[in-house]
Amino acid sequence: MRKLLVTAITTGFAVFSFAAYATPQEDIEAFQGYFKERFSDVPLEAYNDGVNALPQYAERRENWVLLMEFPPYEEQVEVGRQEWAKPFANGKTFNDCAKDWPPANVYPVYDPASDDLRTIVGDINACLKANGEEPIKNVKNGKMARLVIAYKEQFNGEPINVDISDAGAVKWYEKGKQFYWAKRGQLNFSCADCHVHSAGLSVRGDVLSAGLGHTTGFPVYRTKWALAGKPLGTIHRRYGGCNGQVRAQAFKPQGPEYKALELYEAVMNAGIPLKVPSQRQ
Amino acid sequence: MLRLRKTITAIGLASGLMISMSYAPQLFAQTYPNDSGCKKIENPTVEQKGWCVAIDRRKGNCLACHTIMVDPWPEGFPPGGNVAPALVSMKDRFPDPAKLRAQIYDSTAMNPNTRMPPFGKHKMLTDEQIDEIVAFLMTI
Repeated sequence: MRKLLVTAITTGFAVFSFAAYATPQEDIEAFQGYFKERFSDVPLEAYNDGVNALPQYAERRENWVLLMEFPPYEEQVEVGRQEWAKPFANGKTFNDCAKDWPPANVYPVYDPASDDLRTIVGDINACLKANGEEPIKNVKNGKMARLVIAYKEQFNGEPINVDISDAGAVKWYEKGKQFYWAKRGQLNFSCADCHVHSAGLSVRGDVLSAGLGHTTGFPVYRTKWALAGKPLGTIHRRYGGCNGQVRAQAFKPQGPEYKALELYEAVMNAGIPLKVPSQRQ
Repeated sequence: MLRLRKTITAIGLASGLMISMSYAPQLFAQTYPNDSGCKKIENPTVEQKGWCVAIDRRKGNCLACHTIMVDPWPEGFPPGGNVAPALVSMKDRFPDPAKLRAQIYDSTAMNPNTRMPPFGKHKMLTDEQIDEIVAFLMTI
């Protein structure tokens, strides 16, 4: 009898958890479907323009289009290309490492051997280390952001396509998903509170961007950051800023929390073309 | 005849509008300053204190998400956001001020998915500041 009961309960749980569990593919469809309904005139490909793609931003879009005729990031991009091509002390360059890297549109990449996520930032530092150079400590702005742009820009236009078929990768994905939807900080906001439920609405004078497309333009040139003298920033710099704004303790850039979040956001962006760097408010 | 009736209606409407407009400011017994005005205000009433806490970006920052209806609106002061409902007719919507107070203190008690921060529970505002905001909202 007891055995039967246990079986019944276990089966019940199994059925329940199966019903409650959505596969990443179902998540993508639900996430992208939500935005398709909310902003029916915005095609999927346009989400790599961030808030500029939203109809609620239409009034200001013209300014942005004019700004993009001579993009403010051009000079920094050029510096990054030179830094990328500059040989190490041993005569090798970043290209010698990068020829073995996956294309930029499939990052973050799950590495089963270490059960870790590879980011381009992490790969750049690994390359420096392997060639006897000092890894770059500041992974939020400056040189690291320029180098990431130098690699990623070669794949501009390629649709985001992250592989999480490995069970280990799904664990990272679930961790990122939990981060995205969980409330945090004194203000008690989840990422989704602002960038899903309130996307396109105004917080005072600012329009909240859509969560869809978030990673596709990073590293970005941000006007707000430019005013502070450090115009470029990696996605983890932005995550830290966002956490600070909801009065939560920011996590370490390239730490497991933000890597998982980057993975979740990238998975949601399936099919959106890479556009690096981008300009943001 | 029809034209005359139209004219009379128009005059009636216009004068009605003028009367109501001239009365409108009297609906708001007090004037509410902008953020720099809040720093200078002398002997503020409890309602004015509440307004100043509400618009302070480091305190209530209510305008980030809500439009607040006060008349006259402080000159050159940017309007509120549209993430949350406009704060109008608060006295009618919350006949019981205690319910409004509870909503500001911790709106997650009513709805765990709300996007409104729990101002009291998370100690973003003091009890006194919340009371001041409620006093202010009861005037609009």
